[in-house]
Amino acid sequence: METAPRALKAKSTGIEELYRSDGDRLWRAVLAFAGDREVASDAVAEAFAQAIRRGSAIRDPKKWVWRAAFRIAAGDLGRRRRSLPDEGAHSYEMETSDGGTLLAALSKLPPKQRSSLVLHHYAGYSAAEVADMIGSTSAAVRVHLHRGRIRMRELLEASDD
Amino acid sequence: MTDLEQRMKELDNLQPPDLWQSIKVRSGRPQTFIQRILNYFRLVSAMQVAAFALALAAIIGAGVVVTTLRVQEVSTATDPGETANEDENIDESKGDQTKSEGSVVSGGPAGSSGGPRATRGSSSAKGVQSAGSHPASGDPPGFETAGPPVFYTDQADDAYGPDSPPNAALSQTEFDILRVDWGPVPYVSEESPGGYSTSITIAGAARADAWYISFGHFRSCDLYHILAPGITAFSNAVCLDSDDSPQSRIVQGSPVTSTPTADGGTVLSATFDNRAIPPSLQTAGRTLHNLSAMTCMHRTNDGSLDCASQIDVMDIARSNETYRV
Repeated sequence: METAPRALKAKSTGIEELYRSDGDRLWRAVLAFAGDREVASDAVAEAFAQAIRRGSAIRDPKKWVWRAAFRIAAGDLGRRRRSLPDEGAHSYEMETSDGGTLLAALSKLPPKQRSSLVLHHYAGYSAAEVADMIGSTSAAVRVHLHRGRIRMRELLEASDD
Repeated sequence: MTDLEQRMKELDNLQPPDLWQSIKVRSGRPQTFIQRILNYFRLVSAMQVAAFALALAAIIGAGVVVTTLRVQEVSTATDPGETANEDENIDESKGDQTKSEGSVVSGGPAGSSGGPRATRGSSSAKGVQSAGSHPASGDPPGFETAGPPVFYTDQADDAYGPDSPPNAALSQTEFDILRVDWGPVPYVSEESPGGYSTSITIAGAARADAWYISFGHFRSCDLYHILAPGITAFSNAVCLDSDDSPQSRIVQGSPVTSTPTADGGTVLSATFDNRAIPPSLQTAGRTLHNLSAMTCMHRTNDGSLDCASQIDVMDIARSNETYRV
């Protein structure tokens, strides 16, 4: 009789462990992508919550949660872009603390370049894994990475001067 | 380690909030219907593949009126919700248990010229739906008469994004859903096998580069019907039964008819043979819940159609109606 509750609790516990191990890093990655703490927090919390709700339907919770968080954040940004058409392509929060220069530079990249760079160079995912997460192809991700690196170099060098 | 990876380490100085309490609260909330459908709609790339396959099949003259294609098991796994703030909830168990409670009688046949231009939110006439439908004499094995006509309306002048309030200056009539109809189509012959029809009335002319999609929910699935001018309609059942990767099942419908209305609108309509519905829908009582529709604009910059992000969705018409296909 207790099988189901136990299973749910076990699943929740497993997700909590995943949150404790990966949550901070995921939040930082989503923040780097979205440029907004509120979007990052909402996307990460929602991704983990959905993972708990889906229970054993998810085979690889870690991969799923990362993918979910980025897609939720992308959706949030899309809605903001629609509702605030006069505020430019995205509403990037300009951090003044640590990471501010990096975030400001990232904010100038197109979304897929930005997500590719963050997921590959910060989170350490391969091009194929990034492609799966952002709904693209490995080849396209490699192009995003190539162009993104060039642009980031220019932006960061300009800001360092 | 590259320079960029070194710079990326600056991110580690950012201090995240503790979200676990928020996660626990959120995990207790039922997933919203619209959350599901919009996420599934990254699957449209698979649909495009399916459309191409179906068109090819038609060209080579397969000679089969209804062709069921299992195109691929879509692995884009976009189920994670992107609309966390939606307030339209759905009971996950309804798909199996809810039978036809007071559905719709009036509304005319699907594919008709549509009702009056709607000015307020979704509504539909209420009536009594016949309980269970049985094949008439002469119908082929497996054929069941679909439920009586159902329709719902959507406010006008809101086709510039989901949940947008009316604004005639921003709305685009070619995407503006006014009314959605579902209705039975009798069996005539194997060349005209009947089943059920679904139609979407829009305020302007239909665009060839847009998709007009009616859909409903059952079990852990959503059944989408893709209508666009000049194509053979197809439906796509997207399910999350046992894995985080949605399973997609494509079924061909009839060619889409595009009929002008008296007030400048267009009715896009197609018929689907209900003998070809997915087995999971059969076992779910053949009933679709939360009937809805959306229009989605085709992006030309990268050739993809991305309804999930909502960037390309122009209008959504929601309802609480059910329909037995």
